[in-house]
Amino acid sequence: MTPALGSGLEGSSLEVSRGNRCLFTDLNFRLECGEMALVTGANGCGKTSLLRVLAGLAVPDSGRVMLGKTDIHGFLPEQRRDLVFKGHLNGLKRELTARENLEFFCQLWEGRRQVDVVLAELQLSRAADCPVRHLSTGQRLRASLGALRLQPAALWILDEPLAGLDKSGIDLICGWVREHLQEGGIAVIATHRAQAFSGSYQFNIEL
Amino acid sequence: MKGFIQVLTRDLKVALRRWSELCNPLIFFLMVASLFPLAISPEAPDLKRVGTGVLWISALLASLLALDGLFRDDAEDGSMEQLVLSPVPLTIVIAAKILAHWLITGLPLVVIAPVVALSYYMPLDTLTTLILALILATPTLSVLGAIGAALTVGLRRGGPIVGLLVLPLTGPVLIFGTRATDLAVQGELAAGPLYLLGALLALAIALGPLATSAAVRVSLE
Repeated sequence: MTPALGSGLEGSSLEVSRGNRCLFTDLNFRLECGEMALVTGANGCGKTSLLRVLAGLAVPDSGRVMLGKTDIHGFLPEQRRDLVFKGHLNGLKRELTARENLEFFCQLWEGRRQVDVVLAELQLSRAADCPVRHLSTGQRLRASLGALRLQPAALWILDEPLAGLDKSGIDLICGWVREHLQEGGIAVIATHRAQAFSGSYQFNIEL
Repeated sequence: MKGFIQVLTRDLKVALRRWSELCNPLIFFLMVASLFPLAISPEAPDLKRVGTGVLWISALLASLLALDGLFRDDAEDGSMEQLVLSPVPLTIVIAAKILAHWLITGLPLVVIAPVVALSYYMPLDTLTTLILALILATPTLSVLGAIGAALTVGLRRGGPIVGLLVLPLTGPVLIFGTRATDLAVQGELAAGPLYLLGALLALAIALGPLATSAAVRVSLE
């Protein structure tokens, strides 16, 4: 896969707090290419905060995150192509259609897949030209996860990607994750439904 | 450059699809400007005297009014996170968003202002100066406003605070803008204040997007 991954994703002695509350200290992990980590734990234990730190959106109190040989906070814009982050917010513009939203992501990341193909995989072909504000919550979730296929990133950081999806949606996303790992990618996924990924995960970061 | 155009077209497309919000600053501008004759006096000499000030203050307030939505929508629906993480440098993304914002809120003011100016009995030959001054001033206002909007994007209701943050910074723009217009009305050369407005704009364009992108990063954390 991309050379940036090199020696994988490594977090060393991470300490993260939110407000005045310390969420965790001295967290160490290391993921090689083709491996996945599931982040599990009770509500409020810091799963989202950890993922935001891994994506470079937040700065840890101490410790550092290395992707390949580069500190994630020292990433050049060009290197950010290697990373895709899906948080609680879907990142879709309500006024644009699902297709326009995905096309925008695809252009910005210079993705290789066709938007139409991804929309069909998501079973959104019929709703593709409705403004996102007219879509159901589940359809919006699907549309925002479509970015995973369009942004050619080696590192996937997903926060609760399965929450709100139906059975076929869950199967689809789990299939994508497996395919991504087989291609040598890395995934870090926060979830309450660890069993859905059974068989493919290597690590469990329990906070 | 490609990223700049992509963000610009996306922002314009989003704005055009909710054009009721788009018209707000413009309607506000027209409303404020048309209230003064009611409150002061509809006589030509009176209107002529206050015209310049009214025009510039309404334009300033109208462009402040439009600021709150500049980054808030993107922050609330998560697209700001995605833009921060995108392979396009954040400064470029921010510059594109500011340009889109000016095209949507600033440019219509420039277009409609001469009409308002005429209704305040401003001489026809001063309109070129007025338009020129507004073309130089409104983008500066957009950039200054963007810094304020970025700093307050993490707050639930940023509106009044943005005003407090940005209004003092807009002083020079207001002073040189009115000065240029006044000189033109008196039939004198307005080049001096226009140059100063141009200098302010150059400074704003050079430093504004950098400051704004730093503020966006801090607000998102």
